Amino acid sequence: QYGTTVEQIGKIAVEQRKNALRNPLAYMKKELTIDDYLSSKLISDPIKLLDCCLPVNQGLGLVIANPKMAKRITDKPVYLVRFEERDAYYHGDIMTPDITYTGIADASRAIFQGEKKMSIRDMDFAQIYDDYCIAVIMQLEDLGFCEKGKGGEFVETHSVAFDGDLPVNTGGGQLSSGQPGLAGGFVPVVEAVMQLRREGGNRQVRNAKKGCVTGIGGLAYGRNVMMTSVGVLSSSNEDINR
Amino acid sequence: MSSKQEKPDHVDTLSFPQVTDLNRPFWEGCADGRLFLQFCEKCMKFQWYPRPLCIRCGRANLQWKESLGRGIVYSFTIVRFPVQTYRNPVYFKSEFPYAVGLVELEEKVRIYARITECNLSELRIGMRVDLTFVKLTDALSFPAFRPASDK
Repeated sequence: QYGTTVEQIGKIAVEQRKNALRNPLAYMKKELTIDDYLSSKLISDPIKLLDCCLPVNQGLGLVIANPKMAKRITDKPVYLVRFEERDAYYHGDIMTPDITYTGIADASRAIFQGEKKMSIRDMDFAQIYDDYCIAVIMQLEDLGFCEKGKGGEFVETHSVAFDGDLPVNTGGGQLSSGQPGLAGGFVPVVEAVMQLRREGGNRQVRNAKKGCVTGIGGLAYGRNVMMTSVGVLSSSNEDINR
Repeated sequence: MSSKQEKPDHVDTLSFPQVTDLNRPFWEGCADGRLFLQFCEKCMKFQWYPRPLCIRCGRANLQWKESLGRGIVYSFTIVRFPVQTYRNPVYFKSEFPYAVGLVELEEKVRIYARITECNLSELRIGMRVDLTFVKLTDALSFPAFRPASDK
C-alpha cells in the first residue's frame, strides 16, 4: 500500500539490537546485521524469524502510588501524565476498514492534538510495544512522528538507537530483550520509567524528561490490533493533566 | 460456482467448530457448497461474521443471503510453521505451507479463508478470486477461494 521495504523494516530489528547490547538484562547478546535479518527464515510471509519478538522468562514490577506518597518513597518519581486507550478500533468503513491504522492513531490524536498542550515532538523517547518490527513502524506513524505510510522512510532517515534522533525501545524491546508472555506490556513501561529515573546505564537517553509508551494486543477480526493504549510518562509533575 | 476438494488426512485430529442457532445457516450453507452472509434490510448492507444484531444499526431479524462468491485478495499470508508444535493437530502437518487470505467480497465484507488451487508464488494483493469449499467431512466444509477463472 505504501511501498515500505524489507530493509526499512529490518532496520528496526538492527537498531533495537544495538540498544539491547547495552542492556545487561536483555536476552540477546550478539550483534545483528541487516543481512542477518534479510536472510532469516520466513515464518508466515512476510513475517520472518527476526521480525518476531522472543519468548523469555522475566519478571517486571512497578510501585505505583499517588504523587504525595511517591515523593515519600523515592526522590525520582515518574508521573503518568497522559493515558488513552482504544479497543476494537477501525479506520474507515466498519466492514472494509484500512487496516494499516491501529487504535494508537486515535489515542494519540486525543493526547497530542487535544487541548492540554503537548506535542509528539516533546517526546524524548518512544517505548513502543514491539511484538513485530512492522508493529513499531505502524505505531510510529499512528503516534504522529510521521504520516501514515511514511514510517519506513522515517526509520530509514532517522536513527532509533538510544542515542539517535528518536530513541525507540532503548532497552532492546521485546524484539531483542525479550517478551515475558503476557507481561510483555511492562517491557516498554519499565524501560520508560528507568530512563526517566536516569537508571538507563550506558543506554541512557540524554536529558530524558518525558516519553511515550504504547501497548497493543489481540487481533480484532478483519481489523488491526484489538487493544491499544498510549501513555505519556514524565519526570516532572508539571505536565499532569488535570 | 463452487467445488469440493478431496477429503484431507487426519481430520479426526481437528477440533470442530460449534454449530449454534446463530451460525447454523452459515454451516449448513457450507455443507451445501454455498456461502451465506447476514444482511440487514434497514441498512441494506451485509456483515460478516455472524452476529446477533446488525453491526451498524443494532437491529435484530437479520436475513441470510447467498454471496455471489466473488472477491479480491485484500491481504494474505503464507503459513509455513505451526504456532505451537506440541498442540498442533496432525492434520496441519501435510498442509504447510498454505495461504490464508483476507478476501473482500463484492458484498463489501471481508472474510478470512484459505486460498487454494494456486501457486503460492503467484499470490498477489488485489488478485480476483472465486469461492470454493474445502470438505472436511460429509457434514463439514469450510469456504476457501481460488484464483478467478475468468482472466
